[in-house]
Amino acid sequence: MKDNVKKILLLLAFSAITACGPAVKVEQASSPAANEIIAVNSPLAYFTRQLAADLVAVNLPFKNDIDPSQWQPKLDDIIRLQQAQLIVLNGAGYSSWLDKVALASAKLIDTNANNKAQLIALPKQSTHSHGPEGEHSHSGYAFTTWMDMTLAKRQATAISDALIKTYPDHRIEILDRTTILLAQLSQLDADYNKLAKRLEGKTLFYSHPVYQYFQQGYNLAGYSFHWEPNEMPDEEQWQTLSRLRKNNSDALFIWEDQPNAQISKRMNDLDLDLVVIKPAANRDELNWFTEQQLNIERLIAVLN
Amino acid sequence: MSDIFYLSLQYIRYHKKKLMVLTFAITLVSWLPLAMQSIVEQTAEQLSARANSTPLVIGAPGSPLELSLGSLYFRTKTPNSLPYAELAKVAASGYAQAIPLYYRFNAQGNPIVGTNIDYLVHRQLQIAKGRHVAVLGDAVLGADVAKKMALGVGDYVISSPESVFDIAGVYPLKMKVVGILQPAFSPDDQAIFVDIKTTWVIQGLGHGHQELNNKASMAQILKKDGDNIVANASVNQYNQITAENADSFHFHGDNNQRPISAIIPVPFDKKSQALLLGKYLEEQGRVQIVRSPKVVNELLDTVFTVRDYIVVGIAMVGIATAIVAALVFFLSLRLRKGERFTLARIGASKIQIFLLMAIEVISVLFVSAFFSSLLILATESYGIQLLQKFLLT
Repeated sequence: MKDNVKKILLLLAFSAITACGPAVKVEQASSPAANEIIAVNSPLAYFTRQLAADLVAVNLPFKNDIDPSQWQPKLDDIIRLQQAQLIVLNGAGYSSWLDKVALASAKLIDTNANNKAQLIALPKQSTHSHGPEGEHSHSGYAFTTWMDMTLAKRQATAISDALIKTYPDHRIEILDRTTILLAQLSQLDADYNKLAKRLEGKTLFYSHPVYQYFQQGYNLAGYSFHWEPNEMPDEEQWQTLSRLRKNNSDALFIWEDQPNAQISKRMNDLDLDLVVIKPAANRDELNWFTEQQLNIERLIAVLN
Repeated sequence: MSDIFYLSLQYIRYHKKKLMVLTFAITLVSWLPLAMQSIVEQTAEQLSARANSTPLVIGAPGSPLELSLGSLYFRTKTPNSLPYAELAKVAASGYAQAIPLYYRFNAQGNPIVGTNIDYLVHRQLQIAKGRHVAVLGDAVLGADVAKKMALGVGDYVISSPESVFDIAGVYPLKMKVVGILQPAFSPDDQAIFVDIKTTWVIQGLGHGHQELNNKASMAQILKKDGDNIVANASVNQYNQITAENADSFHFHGDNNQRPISAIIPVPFDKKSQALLLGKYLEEQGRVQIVRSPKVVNELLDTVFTVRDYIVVGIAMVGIATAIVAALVFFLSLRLRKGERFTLARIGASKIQIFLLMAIEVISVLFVSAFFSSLLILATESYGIQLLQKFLLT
């Protein structure tokens, strides 16, 4: 009886809350989904385009040649993201804007969701504490996972799974295209492995700390700098390089992009080989796969 | 015939108080059961429609009724929470689209519902002014909330603290109103919609504060030990998310462990619904899945039973009223015995006398029926709104 009274009171309260008119009336809403998939960088856009083919347009969210990891969406971009069918993310904290925008989680494809165990934590930045919540730190993960083809293949598979879920009628075609893409990535993996063996014994220098997964995947440990290809490093940085190289005469400097003539000359003067291995995350005229093939060609050339 | 009506009219004018009381009593007694029936049916219809549009709700273990009603009407106090990771599990099942809900907070009594854009699409809610929620700190108001709080696009709505005594707690968050919804004639009209992450900021699980790694913050630093900075309580935490400070907002801990009140799974088809239900019924204890229509129907069954008792009670009162009315008419007729005698002596026919006596009864019943019909029509149209106003004010 007590329960019944409680239920009656609930009903009275809810009758008051629910009813606002003589009849239930809803406006028709049009689905905001646009026929577009947005991938947050070039490798993911390449994988998605290869897998989706002409099913749907695959675009990057930005037009200029900028670092996708530094891109921040403006209001128009967010609305476009909200309207996209899928948003292909790199995960690993790559898109720092993700925590600040309102997007439906069902549309978000974290391509590194199955690579969590392989993610490389960056050194802890500052730890601080204030207020009742105590100590907390702002740290993250290295994110250029696509430079280890084993991880890249899992990213491609995650995209394939998401596409099959979104376009179940095209499952067979998507699976066929997945096989082709995975074969491409396997070929790149084999080529990088072959070249990694030839790089054994060399001291490697990296212009930027973006090769963590490349180093991990192909056992190519080295020293990372923070050098820009179009900005001459100061003398202290050159001295650091010389000091690190002193005991390792057989060395190779790996650049993200072609360094300018002055830097190249200085390296030449130091008798230090350099090679460009582009992670190729940015928008470019060439697609990501072609960039990787060019990376391999350049590595072969420098090793020969 | 006109002489009969003239005499009747004079009689009614002379006895208007007595007849008004009689009319009022009969009107009420005939209106009440029908009004009760109408309100219960309208409520049942609306409850069922809302529940049918949300056939399943997933939440933390507890009362299925509170979970259902909380998810449908956002009115449950401090609902049990489940981890956000559950949302991904529902989505990964492949049986349904998963929509998160976090309705723990409010602004001046209006529920703040943390969700995502899928909720608005699922409920077919249309923006009347402005736009959808796009960034952290944006809020879209239901039509009634906007009207009640006199807020428009560009204004601000501030979350209410959970406890006035929680001085050391989280600051209320000032949220920018970016859109107003069209009236949906549902509980969504009385809610404030924000992104789920905004509710976590309200809870203090995410925050923005001044940069601690610069000279300007030296006064706030208590201790700096390598990478570890300990700041005092004067660190400026932002209580509003703006374009200027948005970058400083961040969350700590595992995203998947953050709380939500419930998940609305939108099954892709009937088969998926059955499979999802089966999957979660196996996992009862950790989480619960409830069938909203079943829960609401159980509630309504009880309500209908009680309504029947009330209707029986009213019917008995009605019978008593009818008996009293009959007695009043009977006594009235006895009192008018002299009047009948006089009418007969001055030549009125038996039919004329009968009509004169009957008009009293007929006019009372007719007027009562008229007012009762008006009241029933008013109840059908405005009864629940009046009830709402009565209960909420």
